Amino acid sequence: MGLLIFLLKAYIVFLILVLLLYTIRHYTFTLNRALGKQRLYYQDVLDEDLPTVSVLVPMHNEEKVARHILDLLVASDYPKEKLEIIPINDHSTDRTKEILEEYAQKYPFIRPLHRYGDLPRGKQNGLNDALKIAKGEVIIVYDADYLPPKGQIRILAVAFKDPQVGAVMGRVVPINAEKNLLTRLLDIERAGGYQVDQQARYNLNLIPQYGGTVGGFRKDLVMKLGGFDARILAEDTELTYKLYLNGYKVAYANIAECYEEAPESWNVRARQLRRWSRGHNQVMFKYFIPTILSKKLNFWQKVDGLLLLAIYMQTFLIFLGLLDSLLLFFLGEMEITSSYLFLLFMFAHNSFGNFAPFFEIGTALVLDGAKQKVFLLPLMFFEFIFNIIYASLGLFDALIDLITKRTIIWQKTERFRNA
Amino acid sequence: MKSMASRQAYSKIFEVEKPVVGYARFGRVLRFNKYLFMLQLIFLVVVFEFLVIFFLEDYFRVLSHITRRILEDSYTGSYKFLSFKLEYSIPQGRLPTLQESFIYLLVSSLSLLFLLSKFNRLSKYISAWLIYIVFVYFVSSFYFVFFLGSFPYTERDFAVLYILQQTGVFLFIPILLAFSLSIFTFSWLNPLLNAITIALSLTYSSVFGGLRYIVFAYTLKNFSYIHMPAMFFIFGPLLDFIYIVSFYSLCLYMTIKLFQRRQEGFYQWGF
Repeated sequence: MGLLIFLLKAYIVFLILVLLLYTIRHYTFTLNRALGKQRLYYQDVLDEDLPTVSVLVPMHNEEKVARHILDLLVASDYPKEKLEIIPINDHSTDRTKEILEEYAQKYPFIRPLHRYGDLPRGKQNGLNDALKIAKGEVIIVYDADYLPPKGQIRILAVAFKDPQVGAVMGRVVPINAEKNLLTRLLDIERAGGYQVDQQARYNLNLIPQYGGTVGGFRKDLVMKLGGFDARILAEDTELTYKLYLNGYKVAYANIAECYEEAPESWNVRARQLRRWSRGHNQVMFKYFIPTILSKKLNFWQKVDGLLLLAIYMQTFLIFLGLLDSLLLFFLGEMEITSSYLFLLFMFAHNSFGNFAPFFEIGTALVLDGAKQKVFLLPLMFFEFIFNIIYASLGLFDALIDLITKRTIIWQKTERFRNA
Repeated sequence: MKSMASRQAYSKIFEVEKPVVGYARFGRVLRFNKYLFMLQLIFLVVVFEFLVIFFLEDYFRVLSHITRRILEDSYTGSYKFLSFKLEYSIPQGRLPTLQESFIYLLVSSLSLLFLLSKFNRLSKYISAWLIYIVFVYFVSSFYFVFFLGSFPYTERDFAVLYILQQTGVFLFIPILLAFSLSIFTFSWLNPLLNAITIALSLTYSSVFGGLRYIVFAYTLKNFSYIHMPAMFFIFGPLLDFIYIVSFYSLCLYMTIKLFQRRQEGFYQWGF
């Protein structure tokens, strides 16, 4: 019994240390973004010698949104002789195919890729096939629900003038933020994630993440690195680590804002979160050791890389902490080594993890000048247990994937927009 | 060649239009005065921690007195925390009967089954919270059904744990809020606004914490210890966190409101 109690207490101390590490990380990022010198993106590079670009738009039953994104891509100011658009129709059973063919007939630079039959479904598989036919030096990817503004392809593509840049990422802003509580909460989370987190990582030369949409990468480089792993759901996170471990970097373009459609129902959000967590944890299993051993990353990049890899694991650790503390409670061992540590223990693990994410999101809203949205901060407690459950389920999925090597089936996020 | 009048008119237009341009959100940072930052950080932490420490004994003495008045037959004791003698009053609690525990176990098991079943039509975020609450009660009732005699706490232990928890909340509020709010240094109004926020949070915490203690003590007396885990793991620091974040967001709102009146005064390019 003594050993069990020691282990349970040791775990709580470990959890406090992990949360403290994430707290320091969040505070550092927030202070850097709010007050520090910002790293310039490449938007001021004026060069007519632009790279050829292939815009890939993975689609599975996207009849509600397909026309919107295609219309906006057609309206792009990128020179048409250097642009091709490849909508990837991945086993659609609705009118997506007809819509794409209609656009292909009207615009010669739209060349749809239809995937049916025995071809395996999934974004990563579709991207791999599209890379084989894409003619552009640079690949820009948009999910089908995104609404890219006119000049965005140029802003994203110009980053590749820097030979060190392997991928580029823009800022995601929900267009349907006013729809309900969930979309509002996702909107402020995105603000924290992009306005503060991504920009600070870019400023500090750490690991800004390529997010798989509103972003792009060098085609030849990704082909050389073996394309996308079909067994990994988070192809974006995987590419980020692949690039950094091979000496390339990801540029973050805070100026390149693009609207997306955030999930409007908690069921859809639960599936999305579980899928993200599963994919992210798959990447963690694959890249944790290589990140530690890498000779291409400096010390702080390794620290940031490892913390980023474990981000979805954190919620599971808090879940274990809750179970652990319940056990300690019934064992009469609420005081961890001394009364003073007990204060920390109760406050650290039982209070949403920690205060730092609220600081990060709050600061992002101040930088955005979003006055009304700050009142949503306390409502984020609604997501606390929800996130713990679905992120933990995603971790279990990833563990089963690792053990059984089973085939991954991609689950698309449902769209809510009216066609 | 432009006349003097037209040049003046041009520059006047320019002067009028300049503030309207504003700093785009992708590259702006907050105007920052590091001296004011350090000054207000030290001031807010030191002053409010001093106030907390100064009033700590008095607060628990008053709370003990009120508890004794409201809940009769209370035991009065004290707990030594650092050099402070923190007084508490607590009425005698009672263990749940086996029948009572069994009913809680049955209800929580059935509720868990329902919440996890496909018949559950509640929204997932509400379900998630209900699962957590019901799970805490499931573990608690399970314990009291099978290990009733081993329950390690008395009502006095509860009082001491509560005192420690509440002290933790009091000590953390100035640190959490001062660190998060001191970055606003665009005006001398900021330290004032931030101080008001911390003062409001502490005041709310002392009233809420006191009321909660009395409700908990009443529950332990009139119901049973079966609710004790919920007092720490559901209605404990989790609730404190919500109002702390609420006061933080209120302060942010007021700050942005001040910002938006004089936009040129608080943003600057970050490059």
